[in-house]
Amino acid sequence: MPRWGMVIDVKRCIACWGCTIACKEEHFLPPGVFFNRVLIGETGKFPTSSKLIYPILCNHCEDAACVEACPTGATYVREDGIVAIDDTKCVGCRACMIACPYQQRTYYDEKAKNQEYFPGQGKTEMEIIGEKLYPFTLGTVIKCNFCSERIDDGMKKGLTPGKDEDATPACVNICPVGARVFGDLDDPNSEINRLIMEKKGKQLRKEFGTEPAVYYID
Amino acid sequence: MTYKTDEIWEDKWVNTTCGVCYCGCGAKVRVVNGVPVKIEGIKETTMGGTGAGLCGKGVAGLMYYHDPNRIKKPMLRTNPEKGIGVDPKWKEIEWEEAYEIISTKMKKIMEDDPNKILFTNQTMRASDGPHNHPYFYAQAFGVKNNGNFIIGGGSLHCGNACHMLGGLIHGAWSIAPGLAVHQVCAEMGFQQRYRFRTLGHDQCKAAGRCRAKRHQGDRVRSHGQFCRGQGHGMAGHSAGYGCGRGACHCQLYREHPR
Repeated sequence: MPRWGMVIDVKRCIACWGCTIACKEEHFLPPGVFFNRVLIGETGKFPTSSKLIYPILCNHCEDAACVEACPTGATYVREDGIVAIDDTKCVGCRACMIACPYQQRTYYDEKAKNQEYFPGQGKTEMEIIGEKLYPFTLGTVIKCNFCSERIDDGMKKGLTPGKDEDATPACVNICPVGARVFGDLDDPNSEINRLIMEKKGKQLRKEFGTEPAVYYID
Repeated sequence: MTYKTDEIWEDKWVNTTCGVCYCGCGAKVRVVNGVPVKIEGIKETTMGGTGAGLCGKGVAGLMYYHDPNRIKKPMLRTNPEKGIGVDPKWKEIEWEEAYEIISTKMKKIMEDDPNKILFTNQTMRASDGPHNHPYFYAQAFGVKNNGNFIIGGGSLHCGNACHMLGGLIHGAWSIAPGLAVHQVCAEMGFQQRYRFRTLGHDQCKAAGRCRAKRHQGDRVRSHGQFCRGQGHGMAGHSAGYGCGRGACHCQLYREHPR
């Protein structure tokens, strides 16, 4: 069984927010809910100042803090390493949101559901379709799922995630500069393992010991 | 969190080109129940980002379609009074009515002097040939010698107001500061990998000129704030990514943490 992971090249990233938007469209997220974010900061002083651009998403940790915090077992690590939420088991206690060191979880409540992209002008056709096609359960916690429905459907068709578009997460597909690489961490010959080895991939907040599956190279 | 397909009778991908800037990258649109819900790049196209890439601006172009404030019919100004704070009292009219108003007024001007007509156009996708059309159809109006042209974007997407204002202020499509004359160039909207993004399509040359200036002891000051609301794909145009920038005026970016 593979263990899915991602490598993000922060040197390539131009902070176009393509991943943020592609993710919102893929999962029909309401305003204010982001599975993919791009953090932008500055370091140094003029004239040697430079910008830090970090696209962040759920790290799909091997030893996830959210899984340990979940009292009902709703959050679990799938066989392929994806941290998923079973919304039938989730009671909305939000312990995982406190436990997650990366702040990648959002509580889906009435407020989030009733938000409109164009306030006071009703929901757009897209939002209405989204509620039918990709419904979130009220009172549960939602987060990035590495586009697991894309991966699962693609694998059934015999496609390889990371190589074929239809089986790869939306944020990886959309990246115009190819800063994101998706692949199998367990396969020593995979593209992402090569990148991690050659460019010394770093995990965010390694000191928490959660073993994230998202690596950053520069 | 899984797809539900109970009430879905159509779910397909339609190939097209992205129309949010004039790069015209290959794009495909996911249509569910006749409603476009997602835009993605096409891997096999030569125009576009790496792989199936498409920039944030292109992807966010979806919201132009879904915007409830999108103007779908001609609007007629009914208040002859003009000025700041004066309501123009826009009225929605039918296309037939609009054609009639335009043609009667145009005929009157053409009988007088066709060179009185000012031609302008919008930024459209590259395949539409935005820069060439006005010159061709100006001939049809009987324009002699040099007509009056503003080749500037007046549309909602790429380069929103900057081309239009560039045209009005210095008669050019590009927005290029006079680097040969000025001592200091203050740039707003500077990005780490997007140097000189305000310099228009002249970007590569301008960057070179800036660098030359720098050697002379001049300064190009950068301000590390991303300029919100003004979207443009400067580096994209030159670097060949076909990648636009700054779709942050799109509703999908609302409440993005800073």
